[in-house]
Amino acid sequence: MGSKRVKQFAYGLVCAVLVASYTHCGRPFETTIGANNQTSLGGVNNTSSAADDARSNPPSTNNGGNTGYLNTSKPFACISGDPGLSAKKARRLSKYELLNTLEDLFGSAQISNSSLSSKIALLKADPIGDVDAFENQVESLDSLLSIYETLTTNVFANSTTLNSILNGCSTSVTASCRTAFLAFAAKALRRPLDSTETSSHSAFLADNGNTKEALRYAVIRVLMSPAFHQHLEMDESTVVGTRIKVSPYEIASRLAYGLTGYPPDATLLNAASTGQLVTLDQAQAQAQRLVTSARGKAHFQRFMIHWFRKATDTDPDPIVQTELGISPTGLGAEAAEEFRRFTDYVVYQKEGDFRSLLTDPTIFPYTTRLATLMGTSQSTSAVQSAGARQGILLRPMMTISSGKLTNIVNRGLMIRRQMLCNNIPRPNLAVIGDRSTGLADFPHEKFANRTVVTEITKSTTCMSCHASINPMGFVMESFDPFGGIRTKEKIWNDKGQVVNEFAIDTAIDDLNIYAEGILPAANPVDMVQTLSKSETAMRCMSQQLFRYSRVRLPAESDGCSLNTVTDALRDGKSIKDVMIHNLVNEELFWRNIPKKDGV
Amino acid sequence: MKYSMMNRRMFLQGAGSLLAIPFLPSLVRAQTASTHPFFVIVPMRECFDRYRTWSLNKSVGYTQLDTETKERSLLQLASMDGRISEILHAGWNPYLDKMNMFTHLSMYSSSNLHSETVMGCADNRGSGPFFSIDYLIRNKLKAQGFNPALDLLQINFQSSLFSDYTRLSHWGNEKRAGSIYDNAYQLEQKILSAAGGTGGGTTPPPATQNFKGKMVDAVYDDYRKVINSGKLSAEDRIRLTDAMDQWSEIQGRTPASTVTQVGVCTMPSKLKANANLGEQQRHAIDLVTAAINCGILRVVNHGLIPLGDNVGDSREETEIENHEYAHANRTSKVEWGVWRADVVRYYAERLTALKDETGKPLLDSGMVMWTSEYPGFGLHQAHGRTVITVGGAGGRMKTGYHVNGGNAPLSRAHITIMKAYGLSQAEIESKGEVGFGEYSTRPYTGDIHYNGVEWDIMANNLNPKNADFSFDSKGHAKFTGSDVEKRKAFTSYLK
Repeated sequence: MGSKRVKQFAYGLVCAVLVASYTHCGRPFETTIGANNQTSLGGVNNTSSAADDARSNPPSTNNGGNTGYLNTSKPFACISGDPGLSAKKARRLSKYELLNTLEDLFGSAQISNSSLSSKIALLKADPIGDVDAFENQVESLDSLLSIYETLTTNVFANSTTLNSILNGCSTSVTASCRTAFLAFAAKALRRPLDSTETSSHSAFLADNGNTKEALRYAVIRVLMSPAFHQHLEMDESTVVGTRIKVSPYEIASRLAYGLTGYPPDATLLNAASTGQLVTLDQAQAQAQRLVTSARGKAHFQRFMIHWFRKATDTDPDPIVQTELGISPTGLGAEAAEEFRRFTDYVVYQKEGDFRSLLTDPTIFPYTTRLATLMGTSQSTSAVQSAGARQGILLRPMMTISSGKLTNIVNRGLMIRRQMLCNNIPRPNLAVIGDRSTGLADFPHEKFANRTVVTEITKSTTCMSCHASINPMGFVMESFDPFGGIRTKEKIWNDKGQVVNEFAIDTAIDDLNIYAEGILPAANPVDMVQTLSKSETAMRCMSQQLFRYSRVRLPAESDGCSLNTVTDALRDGKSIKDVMIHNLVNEELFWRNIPKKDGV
Repeated sequence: MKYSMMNRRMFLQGAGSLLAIPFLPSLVRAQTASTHPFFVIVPMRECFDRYRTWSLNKSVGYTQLDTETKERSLLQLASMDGRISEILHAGWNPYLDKMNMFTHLSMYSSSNLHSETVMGCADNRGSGPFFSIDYLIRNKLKAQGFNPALDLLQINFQSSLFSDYTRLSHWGNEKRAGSIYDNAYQLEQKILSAAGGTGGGTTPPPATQNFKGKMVDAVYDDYRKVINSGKLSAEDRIRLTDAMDQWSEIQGRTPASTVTQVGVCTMPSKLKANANLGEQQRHAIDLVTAAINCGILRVVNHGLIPLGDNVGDSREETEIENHEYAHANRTSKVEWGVWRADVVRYYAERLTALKDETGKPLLDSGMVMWTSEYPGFGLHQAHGRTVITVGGAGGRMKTGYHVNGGNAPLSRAHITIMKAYGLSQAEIESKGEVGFGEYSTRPYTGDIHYNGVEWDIMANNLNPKNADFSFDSKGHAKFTGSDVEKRKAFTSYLK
């Protein structure tokens, strides 16, 4: 490969990294490369004509792109009487739900037993955030059987453990043991057994001599049954028009898994059995209890991970050691914990709303390293930042990258996709290849990162997406790649030496939230303040909550539910209440009649 | 979620292939458990009634298999409202994945008299060019070493029509058994003998416990119940059927649960005094299935003539009532069809309850073939014939389908069934005639449409063109013009 080709390849690679994971975004802009040349190095102006055009032709937000968001640029459609009409497939329990359910049945010590870890590792991992990638095919039954055989062997080997799970079964299958087993089966299935199931399970034990080994396999049978590892809603006792009223036990499951990731607890099941789960108020009371439980809080923290798709903690580049005198190792985890403390503070202590989530200036510099990174003193309690750190987007966890350069495109993409729910597809590699040609004149050593990104993405095709992506990333340029606040952009070589410095330019003419008019921003705080009032962002969060709690994409007919949440966000309801609104609305009580014709 | 939307055709194809899955364990185990082959044919007088009783849900589309044959899944049909038709109600659902319905078949014979139609071979009153299906299958089983104590049982409750039925299927020169009233005692004695003369059945051998095998079987049943509940969407059914596929593999690897009924011959309760027709039928089926389970009976011909517990009594009534019924076009009498269907369903129920030595339902080892003289009340139609089978013939029959034969000869279904029992074409044509049945040169109109819509499992005969039994020469030539055509089977359903 000749040197020119190597250079081209390198630029192609840069471009590919920068535009990682999207392709051509809808209709190309009308501007041409030639038209942009004049201002291509001058910062934001080079995108203005493209942005103008994009205002009338915004990036598709509902075109079946790979992220599957509904259009957030306008209110969702809500036809009175529609709730529950969207097609709801039976869904398998996610790995998270399955393990939580097993933990509920057998105790955490059993589930974390080392004899199970390698078997559990074989189960399909839950995709982080991307519910469209959730594989709903039934889990490998071989894997499940293997887990359950080991699990029950462990449980049955210890009479104390066995007795704690199946009371009265430690020595033999007595009448009281059978009662305990049937109660266990009902708990596992999250509903009372019907008479056929009761007879069938009893007969299974009786036919097999009521031995302990038969009991062990009876337990495995319960765990292997589709009613256990699927969210099956099959009660059809009340059909109204084209909808079916969901039974109280099914409501209990919806609430419990949706708000805690665990099966219904005894209180919830009791409410279902006593007719205390049939009105919105009743469901709301239960939801209130669940959302503030330890499980509910952990479930919310998991939502934040899924919302922003931050499954792992990124440590910054080792250059941070030279720059700030702090070790990068484990810094990402500390930033994640800081993020967790912040969201816990806003949601559960302050009972803050959407605006608080995006703009509250409280920080938690609980380690020396974090304090250094955040330019403050270490403290074990909450600290008010000087103002540059606001809300969830401007924290170290959201700004740390593992390279020496800020990742403008990824930062912009994160906001477009996660905060505004734009469907931005994967990049077209052919276009990237085209863009690599002729970019050798813009090395990072000589140009600010913003300039390089502007140049790389200035083509008409690239701008069809980058007109909306780049501004969000440019605004964030006041955060260095370690997550710290900077006033200058430093360029380091491989030896960690600073080879160049550039002034930081964070100003943009328009955030390009197209439905909301022209929204300039001088800095990241301006941006989060704007986002905190953005209807588009609120509609997006309503979708994020919906997707997380139901592990499916919302459909057009889910519009009423989504609007309920958006309204709550706009009205300044606490995030805690918003989580409840997300599940406890009219849709909670309905499901559609399953389509049986395969079309 | 990664469960992509499929177009209708893809879905049906997918569903079609998946619907065979519930039988996978049957197949696996049948290969090692073909020690109980049996064949029961239930011919009906008149009455595979068409509209109002047999109408199938048209919203479940077909998958075209070839130029004539189309198929769709029975599970899909039933899932529309929990049943296949007014007659095949939800009580059939547990057996849907073990059934096939061959419909839209035609009779290419020169005459449509009673005696020539039930077996479809137009054997011309017992001396025609073909032996009947039950006889040929019985011979095949004998050749395979199955020599039951009681040969080719004929069950018939209606003495006055018995002579008619003796002509319906050709047993060559062999003397056939008489009606159930003649045979009941004989059958009971045989069962008693096999049961050790105690009348109470032998003590089963002690079972070796295999909890895992039983658990695996129980889970399989749990899946079936959910899938067959009629409460799932098509997509969910496919997904769970997929899981059943996985489970079937596990089942295949797991030693079968021990079953205690091997070799047990249990005498059913005696028929109570003054039993009505339904009780008589069910008692006969109790006897027959017990005898099959004992291995003393392999092939049964059960003529089904009555219409209800107290309707169409054969002993006291004359032929007139049945004949009046048959020609009166009393299509509103759905309950008569239900009653007959339930008699056949009782076979499925009993044969499912009885297990072979591997724990597999006896039903899987053989087949109940249900057919009728005519496709509807009132007319001697030549077209729109139906054959319904329950059971997989020892795993050699793919099941779970409604098969629209596209007006192909009725014999195509018959040949399919015989091939499932291992008969060669030479054995089928043992009297020297090609194919199976008469292929008359008399043309007729085989119109299977009503107002352009395929709305009925029966070919509808409301089209005036059909009233004279005329044949469409073009269709006739297509299906009877060559030996290849005459010998065709529905090979898609043979394993």
